[in-house]
Amino acid sequence: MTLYDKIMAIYPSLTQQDFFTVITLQNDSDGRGDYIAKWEHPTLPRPTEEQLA
Amino acid sequence: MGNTINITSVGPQGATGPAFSATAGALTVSASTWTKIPFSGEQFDTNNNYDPTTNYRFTPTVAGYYYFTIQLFMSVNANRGAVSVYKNGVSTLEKLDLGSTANGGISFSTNGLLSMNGTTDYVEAYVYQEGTGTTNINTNASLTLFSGFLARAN
Repeated sequence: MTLYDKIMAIYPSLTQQDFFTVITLQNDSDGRGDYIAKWEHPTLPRPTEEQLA
Repeated sequence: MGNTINITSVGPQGATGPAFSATAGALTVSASTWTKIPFSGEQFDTNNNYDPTTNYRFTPTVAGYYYFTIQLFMSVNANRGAVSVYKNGVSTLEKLDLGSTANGGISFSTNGLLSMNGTTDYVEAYVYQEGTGTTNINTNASLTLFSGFLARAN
């Protein structure tokens, strides 16, 4: 399951536009995998590491 | 009569400046995740300014205005795809297009001029897709490329 899939499971109401504007997921191809580079959603809090584990 | 006119021939500025072109290694792109493209195969790198092994980035050592191009082929099963030139870690030349799975996918591209300081500025190539799952980029050297050259020195 990708980071995107995990976030969508936590917040099913998120849209693809959210991920293009107020949320940025990124992968720098350095072996560390996908990560949250930006979370500026106006109402939903950034998921915790525990939620994403 | 008798006057002398001196004409100095001036070639295109940047004609001898840094230039590079690189082809991509395999990459799986998660949905809605900006992912650096590992352009690991150098076609040429005239000034040894492109890193094809660790960071996949171009750090020119000559200051000036550089023209960059990303061309990438991939299949996106819904919605949009995008490629972007990231300058110093920030998306700077970004272009979106509607995705497609027909005939193997669609070509995404972006290009433009960026000012580079010749010391610390660097660029990298990123890809994005809004499909319903992961997708693999096409690594064919004629379909997926990252290139740039000095268009005008400072």
